[in-house]
Amino acid sequence: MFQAFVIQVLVTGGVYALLAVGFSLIFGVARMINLAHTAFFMLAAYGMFFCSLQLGLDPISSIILSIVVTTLIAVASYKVFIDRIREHQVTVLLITIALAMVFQELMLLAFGAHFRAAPTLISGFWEIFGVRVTYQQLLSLGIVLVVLICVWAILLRTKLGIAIRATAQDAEIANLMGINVSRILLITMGIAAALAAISGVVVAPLWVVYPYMWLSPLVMVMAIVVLGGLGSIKGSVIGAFIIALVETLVVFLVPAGAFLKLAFALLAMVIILVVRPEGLFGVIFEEERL
Amino acid sequence: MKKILFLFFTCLLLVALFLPACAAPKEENVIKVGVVGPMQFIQGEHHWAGATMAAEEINDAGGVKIGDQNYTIQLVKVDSDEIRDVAGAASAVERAITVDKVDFLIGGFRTEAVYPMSDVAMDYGKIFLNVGAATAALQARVAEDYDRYKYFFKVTPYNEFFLVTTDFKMLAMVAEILKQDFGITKPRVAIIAEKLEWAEAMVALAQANLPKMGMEVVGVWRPSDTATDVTAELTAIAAKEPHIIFTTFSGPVGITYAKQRGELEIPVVSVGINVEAQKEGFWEATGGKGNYEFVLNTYAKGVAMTDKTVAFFDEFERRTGEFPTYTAATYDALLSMKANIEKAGTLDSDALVPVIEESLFSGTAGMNKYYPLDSPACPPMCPHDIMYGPGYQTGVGTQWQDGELKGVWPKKEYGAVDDFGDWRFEYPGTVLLKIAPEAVEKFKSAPPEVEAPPEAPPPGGLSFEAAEYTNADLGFSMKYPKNWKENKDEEKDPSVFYAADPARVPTIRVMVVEAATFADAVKAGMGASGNSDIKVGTEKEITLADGATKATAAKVNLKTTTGHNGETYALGVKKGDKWIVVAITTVALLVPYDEAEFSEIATTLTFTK
Repeated sequence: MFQAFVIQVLVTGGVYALLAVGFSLIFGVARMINLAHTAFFMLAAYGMFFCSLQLGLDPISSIILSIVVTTLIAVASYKVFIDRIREHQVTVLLITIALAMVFQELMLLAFGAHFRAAPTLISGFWEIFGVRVTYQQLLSLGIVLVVLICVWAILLRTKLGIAIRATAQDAEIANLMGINVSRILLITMGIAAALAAISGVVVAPLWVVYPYMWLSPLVMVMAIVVLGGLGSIKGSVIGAFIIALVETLVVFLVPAGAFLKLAFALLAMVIILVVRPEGLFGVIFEEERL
Repeated sequence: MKKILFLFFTCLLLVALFLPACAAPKEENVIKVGVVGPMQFIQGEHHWAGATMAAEEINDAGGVKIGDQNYTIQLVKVDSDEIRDVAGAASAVERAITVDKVDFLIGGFRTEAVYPMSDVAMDYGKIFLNVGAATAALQARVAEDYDRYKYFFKVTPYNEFFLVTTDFKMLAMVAEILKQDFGITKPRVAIIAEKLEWAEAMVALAQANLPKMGMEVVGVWRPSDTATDVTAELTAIAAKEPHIIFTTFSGPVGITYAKQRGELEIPVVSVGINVEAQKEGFWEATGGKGNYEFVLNTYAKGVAMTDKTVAFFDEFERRTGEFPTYTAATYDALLSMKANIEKAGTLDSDALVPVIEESLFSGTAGMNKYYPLDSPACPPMCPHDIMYGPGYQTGVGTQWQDGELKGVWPKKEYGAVDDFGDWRFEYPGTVLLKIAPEAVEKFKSAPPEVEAPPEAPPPGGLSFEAAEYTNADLGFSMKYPKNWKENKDEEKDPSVFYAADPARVPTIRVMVVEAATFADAVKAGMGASGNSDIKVGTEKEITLADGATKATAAKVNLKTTTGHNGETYALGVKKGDKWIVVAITTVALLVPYDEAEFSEIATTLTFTK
């Protein structure tokens, strides 16, 4: 039972981390709470379903096409709707939630409210210490690791990363130092959306694809990001595993209360915030975030 | 600003004035039928598709003949959007009646929406054929206020009481197969049910009934109805090594569950309710991982419940590319209405009601007949609700077998006779239930069952863990199962104590009644708490558990406050001019009467004075 518990926490935490990192990145750099983040995840999941099952493309082409198109949609949405009002945080909240609902309704119109599935990339399971874990879950865990390494490498080892970090620290000073802040924010939005899209194509085969699939992860991702510290990628990853730990504990210890797992996860977030209002790795002052 | 406001309100006034004039004029020789449903969702799509098929069939055959005139059916799509917006559903129906001038309505899906929608229809005296909302309470309104709700009938599905009865019949078949094929005499069952109101009673009843059916409940898991991941639940279930997973799902979690269960190849038989598994898209949605999912359904491909079923199923599939779900029974609703209108010779609702009440129509899922106004018990047998049982509506158990949804229940060799008829039959086209290879392998490789040593009785020599009720004033006490919950609202004179099992029955009621005889005391006590038709059976003298006190006991049949046929074990001891009566009541439809268990509880009555 204990092995089952540990493995379940690792697998669930990995999936959550993948979703949370992009959300955290865009807040860390643009101070923008993008409520449409999981809607991009939903779009990519539909893209994967549409390309592979309706257009009949192979899985790799479907994945690439879904990620690219979703990222382009996100970047275009940012440029058209958000860029000019990004200083007004409440307006950004309203516009991003409206965007998410527009995407939801578009999917409803295009595909109806039917439940769909994106195809599994690798079918089957692996038994670890007597516990069955699907290959798709292991794949998502592997992708989390690769994506996190890539994000860290970009942020710490490239000029673009330096520009992003400079913008995250102080956009005004970064602008005075010759960094095109608008362009950096656009690129950051693209990276964040691409991360959401990667989550979509990797996680969608594990879940069910339907127009409202973005709502539940949005609450969970926000809890993770707030718990880990807004804008801290490290915090998001650790927050994801804490939330997964709490959820799995609820399912294993109170099976009849399994539906409360999100509520307990939110309760854990509240408790941590009471003790540490900035979150686990959040900063109150404008200092190094990454 | 004032000008803008003035213009705005003027426009509003003009719209309000002219809107009634925009109402569609009533066309000659046309019967307008409002098809009500959430049209963006599969339930509404099937409402519409079923009704369209029926309308085309009727019109192609010359329409509806009233007197010497032929009328054409014209469907009006009434998008209630009730899955997302319950509040707006009633407005959609009102518009259909006042603007589109529909003659009657068919459809509905969510109980919460069918309440207000049918209320609007009743206000206008329009017949509303419910094709989607199961809840018996909707139909109970016909019994409570016939004048208002007489226009409300249910075509499908049968109500939740029959749903759970059928569910247990399917589970019993699985248990019997496990016994016959693998020698598993006491199957272990994991219950997994979404956390929604309708599933509460199902879970409580399963917990109460499964041990009585010779099964062991290893645990209950309650994920959210929209859970996107249940691997944690499945991992925890797998660790308990059950033989059966008993499902209760109506939401998308049903797909997540089936998909992940299949992916993880958990060696079990999965049986129960999973609404998503009734749909053709289920196979695609689970990527084929939902194989062997065994669920209660209305239709199955190739299974002929009547001579109309197969043709209807195939034509529906040809037109829509989907299997018909139960809301597609708008087809039956409309065709039966054609027959009823022709028989009544009018579209007048009041004239049609008695004709519909008497009607018997061979539909696509069985014979359609409605429970009469003098039904013996409502619920479950409420007036104008569709009749349940062999010869009427039974439902069909379906299983996904390699991409095809096959009918596997009822099955002649696993049937029995009950209050509703003889279930030892099967419909043409029914096939054998298949068990997943991983489950077969697991069951065959399991070591032979060893008779478990008898469980140590709980303290006090009782077969149940007990709580105690003490009445210090009258000097007596008694024990009852600890998990039964006391309900003080029921403790009104002459009742001094009342408690009920979480499954709602059995209940225990302790009464202090002034009466000459035991029978009079039982009738007065049970009657005062709202029961009726109380018939006290043969009385017998017994001795209480204290070994000394003599008491009178009898089996009592009655009609409970909820209208069910109740069975009671009653026991009484006379103290002076008063009788101390203990009554343990059940509704056999939900939990069977068990005299040994009930008398064990009742005889714990102990006097200290």
